[in-house]
Amino acid sequence: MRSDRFQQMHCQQTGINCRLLFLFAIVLLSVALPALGQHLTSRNPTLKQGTIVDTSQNQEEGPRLVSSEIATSAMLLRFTQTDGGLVLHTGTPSAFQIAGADHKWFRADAHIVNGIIVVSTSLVQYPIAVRYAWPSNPNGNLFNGTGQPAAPFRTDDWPE
Amino acid sequence: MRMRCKARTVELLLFIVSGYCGVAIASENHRLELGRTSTGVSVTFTQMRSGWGVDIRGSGLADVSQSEPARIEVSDGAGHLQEFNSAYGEVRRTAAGIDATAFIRMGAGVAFEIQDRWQLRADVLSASRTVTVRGTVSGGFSTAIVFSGTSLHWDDASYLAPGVLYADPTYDGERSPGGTLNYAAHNLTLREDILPAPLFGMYFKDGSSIAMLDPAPRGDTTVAESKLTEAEMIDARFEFGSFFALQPEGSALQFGFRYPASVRGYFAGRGDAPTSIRRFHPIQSGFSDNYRVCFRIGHEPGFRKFSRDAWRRLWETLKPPIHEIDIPMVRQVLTDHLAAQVTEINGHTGVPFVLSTMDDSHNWNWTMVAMGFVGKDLDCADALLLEGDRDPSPRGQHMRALGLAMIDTMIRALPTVPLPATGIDLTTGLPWDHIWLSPWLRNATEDMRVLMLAYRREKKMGREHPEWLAWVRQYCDWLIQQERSDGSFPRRWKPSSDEPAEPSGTASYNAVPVLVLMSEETGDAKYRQSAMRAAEYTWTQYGSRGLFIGGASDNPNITDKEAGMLSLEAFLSLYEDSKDRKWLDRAEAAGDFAESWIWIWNLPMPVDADDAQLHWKKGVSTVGLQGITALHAGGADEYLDCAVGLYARLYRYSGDSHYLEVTRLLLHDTKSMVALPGRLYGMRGPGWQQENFGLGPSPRGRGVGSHRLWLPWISANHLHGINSLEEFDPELFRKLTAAGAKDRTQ
Repeated sequence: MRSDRFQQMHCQQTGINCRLLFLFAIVLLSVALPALGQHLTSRNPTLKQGTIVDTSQNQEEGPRLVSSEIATSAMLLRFTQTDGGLVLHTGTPSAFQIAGADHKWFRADAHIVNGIIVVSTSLVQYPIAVRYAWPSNPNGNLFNGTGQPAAPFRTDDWPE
Repeated sequence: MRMRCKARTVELLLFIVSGYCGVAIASENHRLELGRTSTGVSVTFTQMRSGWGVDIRGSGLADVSQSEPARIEVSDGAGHLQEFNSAYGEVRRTAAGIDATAFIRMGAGVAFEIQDRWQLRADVLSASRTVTVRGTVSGGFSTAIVFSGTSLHWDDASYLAPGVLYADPTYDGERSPGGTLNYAAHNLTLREDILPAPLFGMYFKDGSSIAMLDPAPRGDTTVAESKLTEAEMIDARFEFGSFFALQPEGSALQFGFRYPASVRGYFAGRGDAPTSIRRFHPIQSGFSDNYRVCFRIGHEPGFRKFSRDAWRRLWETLKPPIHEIDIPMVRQVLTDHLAAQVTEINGHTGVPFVLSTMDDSHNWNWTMVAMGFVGKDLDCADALLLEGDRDPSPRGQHMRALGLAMIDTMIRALPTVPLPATGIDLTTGLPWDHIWLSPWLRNATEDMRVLMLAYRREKKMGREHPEWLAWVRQYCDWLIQQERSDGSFPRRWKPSSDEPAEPSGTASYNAVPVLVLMSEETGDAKYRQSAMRAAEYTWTQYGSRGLFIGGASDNPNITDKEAGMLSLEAFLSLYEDSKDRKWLDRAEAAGDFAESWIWIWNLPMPVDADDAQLHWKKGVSTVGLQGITALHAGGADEYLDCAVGLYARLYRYSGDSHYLEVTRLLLHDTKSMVALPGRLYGMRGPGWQQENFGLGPSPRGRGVGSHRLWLPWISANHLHGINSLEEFDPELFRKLTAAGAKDRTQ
């Protein structure tokens, strides 16, 4: 499965045991998410707290997803390693997909607002998960300021 | 456990009051007629073994009666309820009507003295009730005036509750007060504070009707009560009642008014089973309640006429006050504010979709720019163009430049049909695929209609904009191909597709105005023909039943005022185009429906509220606010401020002076919460206003909205209403704005 390969690859690149990385991520999540969520929800009453998927830092890699949140009919994605700012290439089809409770994936629009990636499609009114450059939609269009591409990611753990 | 107690008949000596020839004690044959309505319905007090009851009988109305008019519900404050019902012990005719009294002993040294005055004037039966408590005990009480019709069944009546239910609950939501679950349970109980006007009506199959109304609503509550913190509360400060119609299994249809309110339903739209919210006054010696409820007894040819008559009767009773405001000053403040929000990013110009009224923070979607509905980017642009025409100074010309840039941005960003969206990202100038900016029929047609009017006006002034016309015509050419054989259009399409995303035809009225304008401008009749089919569909399916659906794009396909307002616009445009009287009749029907969402009584903010925490401030009248949808009854905004010009047109064409009153009210009373110099209401500066306010009970409490955000429609609608009145009838505009402007000069 593509998700398993992604996790293995990530572990090999960082040289950290996967389980240790997972525990580290959980600890960091418990510290960072409440503060982040509090900041966001104070500015937008419709936001809901979401999931941190990957907290590793590597300056040689592209943007890394820090958190996702559900807004009104949209998913808000925050990244580290943006190196001067996120860049979305708009000339190609979007590599983002979102799904609602029915687990049906739809190609979604992505826009950068306040340094956040806002992912939405009018065909999914209540999204709960987002995927980027995942197998059925592999051509990435998200980069950081130095031109490094974002690696594929997803916020769900649903069976393929 | 409920216990039913018969109160003893009061043994009082009956006096014949001398000095007035009409005064008499109850007649010896045990019947005392209060009077008859113009349709021959009689109201009679009849003595039975237990005492006196009330009967309403006669021509065209199924008999309804009440053998025990004095009804008290008592709570011990811990969930234990008792009901005490009694016939009147005494009735007597007086100069004013018939006075009736009952005395109910509940034990523990406590009794309730009930004094009712019944009157019949111009087909309106009224009961003025005074309840006085004798003795003190912990707990609370409420009283009710109830009628029942033993030969009536739930389905014999069509029910009217403005802003909540217009006969058919299908599009009112499941758990809303007038929604399908309550309706199916034969249980409609409605607090006054969710109603734009305290009115609940029943129209029967034989054409007879009864409309209950509270002619002097007060509405006082507390913060905790309005947040529904407890299911049962006792407080002397509660001053609101509830209307109800219900038919428990195996029982007769009952309807009436309870004070203070008790209701049963799904609160905050949630819950698997209905729950009860009960409010009581304290059982304290000397405590006294006063309230009045009216029953308008009528006979009309249909539900629409019944609704209109009942609403107007209450309008005449409540006489909603006009709070004159300096409209030219308000327009200038709003226009300056709007121009200041116009944003240019990377060569793209527009008004952000959402901004905070409190500070300069930016929401995640602030760079959205949208057509129609709540975005109204082109309507905003038109307001700026108009100001440019009024003001030749650099200020006005700057505004004109902004308006032109906004229109140019939208046309360049959405050059193709089918539309990929009805809005864009201001940063990139690209379409934004989000539900709010989806290819809604309404969003596209509403702003394109405004652009067509701007095109026509500019052309008259020698300014040609062929690209505007071409852009709208391209859309109209695509649109008329989407019309279905029944004349309907889908509410929404998938992006860049002919495939409907929401196939429902409820909102087909939206297509009409822009198509009529396109025929008028191009001379090609095909657009008009398409428009007429859509208007016929709207009328046949919904409007003829006094029902309009599907206006608010961000709600499900729901009964709402915007559907009425948009239908009014549609029918008026066909009337102006054809002068065919049927379109004016239909415009009146839509206008009657839409105005029934206007709050025509002042609902005070909670007596113990901290004004700083309230979004709607204490002392500011709620007259002029409007309910939004039947799904969220009790929520309110000012969207009908946009319709000032529509009601002025309705007034001019119909000659009906009531529509002039609606025009005047919408022009002035919808500006109550706009921040102006000297009254910022805690907002960041003049011109701001938040989108919505809660009036009915909710977890947020009365006077608090769902957020503190400004959306472009707020300014667009205020300005559209003002400007459209001035454009349509400058003399009427001067007349209606003179008093407010005069105040400024004094």
